[in-house]
Amino acid sequence: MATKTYIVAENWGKGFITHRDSASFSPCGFPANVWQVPANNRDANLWIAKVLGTVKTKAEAQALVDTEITAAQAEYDALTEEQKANHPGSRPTDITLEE
Amino acid sequence: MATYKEIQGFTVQNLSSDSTSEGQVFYNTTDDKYKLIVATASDAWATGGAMSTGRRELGAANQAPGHSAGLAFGGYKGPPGAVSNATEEYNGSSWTGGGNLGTARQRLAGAGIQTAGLAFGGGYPPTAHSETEEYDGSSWTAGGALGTARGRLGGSGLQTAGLAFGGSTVAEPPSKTNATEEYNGTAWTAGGNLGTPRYMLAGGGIQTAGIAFGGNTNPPPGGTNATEEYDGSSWTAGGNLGTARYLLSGAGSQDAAIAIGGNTGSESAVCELYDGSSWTATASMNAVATYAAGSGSSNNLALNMGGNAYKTATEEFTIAGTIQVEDIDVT
Repeated sequence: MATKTYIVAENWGKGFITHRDSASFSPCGFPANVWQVPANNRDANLWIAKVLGTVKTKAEAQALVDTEITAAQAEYDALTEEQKANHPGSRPTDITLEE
Repeated sequence: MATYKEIQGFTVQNLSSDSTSEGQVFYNTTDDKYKLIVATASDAWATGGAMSTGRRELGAANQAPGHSAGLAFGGYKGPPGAVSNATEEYNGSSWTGGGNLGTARQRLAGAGIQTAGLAFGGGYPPTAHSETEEYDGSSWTAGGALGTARGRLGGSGLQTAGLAFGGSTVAEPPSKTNATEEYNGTAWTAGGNLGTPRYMLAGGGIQTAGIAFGGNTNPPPGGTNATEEYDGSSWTAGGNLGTARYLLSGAGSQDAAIAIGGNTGSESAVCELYDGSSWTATASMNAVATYAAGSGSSNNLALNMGGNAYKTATEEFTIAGTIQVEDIDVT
């Protein structure tokens, strides 16, 4: 059984995640406006409704994240070797979402 | 349905400014909002207002207290990418434009507060900046130049008592430096050298009680967990970070610092709090952050802004037990 729920919601800034939200269910952000929250969690479900989140399956969320990361990796790979040397740690790494 | 007065025995007060009494529900007539005063139950990060200019490698007024008086400046904006001179001021909910830096630059450091900020250093090889600029709440004016031009340095202190430490000078692979300089509001003078030369580090505190932590010691490549404390003349070793990292943000004081995100092998959201002798893990950010900037005069309230991928995001850290004002949705 899935322990995580994935949604897509745009972070509008102040109030998108409150301290209470963060302390209650620790939302975790990923590229492509993908957010991970605990499954079957009342506070998380209320937050999803508040932020007008669109629930995605793990596979759908993974595909969105992969697309964004692949594009960012391609952008980094197109840099010159000198530019790469100047930006250590900035090549986006692949992310595998949890079940 | 029962009214609030029927349940509580009194009505909700109308106040023109926020109450400070924990547990009080009130109506703020200025903001036109119902609000509640609560103490945060645990350490946590919340999203803040988004900056107008998304950027990485920016500077911040490192000692700006709390959540409602942040100052961000410079950096590398994009896409497609350009060095920025933009300054933005944070009021606790949104950012507004301030006066532009005289010298657009990235990888700079900052000190001071929103109405008395300090920007210094920066640059991208083969250029390293030594320029210092002072902010008065509306515009920047030139100050004394750093003795050692450098980017990716650490900065803390105040406008009239700033502290610059570590960083990278011109050449690549980076010529890491351990140089420390002290600003008196007019000129920089040499201070005691860091024990561990490094760049992409973070720091906090004031000129006579500074702190430096994390960073890259390349070569050998990779993050360090080293912490050092400055007493106004020399650095001594402090407790090591639990997680070695570089490209992190930092804020706070020598005995109440916060290390924010950074690269720990990959981009990280991990945060730690320092109590003057050791670091302990605290709540992670809601999203990973590298190449960002942090501010806060203590680790009880801190800001982190911008970051890799030209982020506009701001996150606000609040330590457990802090009295906070929360808006109440009334439907």
